[in-house]
Amino acid sequence: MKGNTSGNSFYKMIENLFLTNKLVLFGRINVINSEQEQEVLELLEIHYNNESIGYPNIPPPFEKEAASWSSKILFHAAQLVMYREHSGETLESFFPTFTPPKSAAAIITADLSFRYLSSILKYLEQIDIEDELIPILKNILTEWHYSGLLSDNDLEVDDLELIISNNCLKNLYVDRIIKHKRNKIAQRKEVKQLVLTALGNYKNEFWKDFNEPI
Amino acid sequence: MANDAGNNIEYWLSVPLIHKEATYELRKWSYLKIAIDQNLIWIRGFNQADIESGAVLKIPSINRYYLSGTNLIPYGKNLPALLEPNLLWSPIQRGLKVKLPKENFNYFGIKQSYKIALTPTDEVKPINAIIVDMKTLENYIYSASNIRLNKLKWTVTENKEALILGTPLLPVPSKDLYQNACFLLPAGWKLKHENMIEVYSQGLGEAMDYYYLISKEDKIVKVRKSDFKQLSKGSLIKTIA
Repeated sequence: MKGNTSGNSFYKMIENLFLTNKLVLFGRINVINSEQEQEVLELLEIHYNNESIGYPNIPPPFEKEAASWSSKILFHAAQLVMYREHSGETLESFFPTFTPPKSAAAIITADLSFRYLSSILKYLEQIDIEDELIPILKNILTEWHYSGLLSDNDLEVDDLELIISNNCLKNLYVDRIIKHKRNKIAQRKEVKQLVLTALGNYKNEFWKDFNEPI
Repeated sequence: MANDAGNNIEYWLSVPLIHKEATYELRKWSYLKIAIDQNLIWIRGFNQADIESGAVLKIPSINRYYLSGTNLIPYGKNLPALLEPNLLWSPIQRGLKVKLPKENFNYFGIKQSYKIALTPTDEVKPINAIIVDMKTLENYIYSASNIRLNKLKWTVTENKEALILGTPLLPVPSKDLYQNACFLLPAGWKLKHENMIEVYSQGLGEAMDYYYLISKEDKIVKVRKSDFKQLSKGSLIKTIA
């Protein structure tokens, strides 16, 4: 770890999350300055490059904007679980929308952070089902449904074309559908054939309840 | 329901006493009864399948009969040849005694040894390991679905080929192997002395930590179990690099 990162609780949280899969908060910051953001970005890029070697086909390049935006959303979501003194009004301001066009690279890069959102969501729902943060996170997971596949919520997904247009993301998406047995999405005609192809002759072994007829 | 009329027919056979040795194989049917009448051995209690089996037919100078009432009619004929003889019957396993040789305490052949060897077999074993050419594996894994990979474990052999353990097998051309205790054997072959497998495993000493890959030429290669890693594209690429 670099010397100047010792005070960066944003960096420490993300690093800890990647290393141990556990969410630990190291003190509270409301505004993330650009230096802290840069440090986290470097960490995410190294992690992404490491992981994307194992992605099927040709993995898309690291997408900086998506990485930085999604990691901040993850950070704020985690902070708001622990330290809550905002009223509902200001809650939205921590979760800006992603303005650049969505791409396969953005979706896969954002998943580095968003893959943890569903656990945070689940935790929140256990504490208080009425929490105002819950619909916000659900919206994000619906929009970024590659990460949303990890949550137990039903997703109203409409833009599967973007997923299918990229071979790498397409394979990752299908793998995740199968791994988490998301039957509803798997029945969508855009991906159904892909799921069946991936299961091949071993449908009964891998996913017994997957019902074939459309 | 009425039984098939042919089912209840009891078949007999008689063999000259000098061919007693040849009847020992019939001990496997413990329901047979045996009796000795001067120069003849009588055996009864066969069913249709038994009396036509190779075990019976290969006995020299036999006469086969079936019992109808008290008449014995030669097998395949219609007229009785003789009356049912009045004999003292005993179960075949008691009638034909097996003598085991005494243990030879003067046996000093302790320095003899032999190799672990393979022999071809027709027995079909479920394949659960394959050896695949690296290039082939690379081509397949490039776009493979994760679900096909994550249950498999792999390592690299001395010949720079990939040894993959687990099922379902990958749809690539491969040399097929199956596991038997600590051995990985090529499909279509088995250990020459399969009942020695426990002794081998103990004798090898490291059977807990290694697989022993035996080729058709009886060459044995040790593969450390802890060398196996989960198969994934990342793992393969890092290995090649």
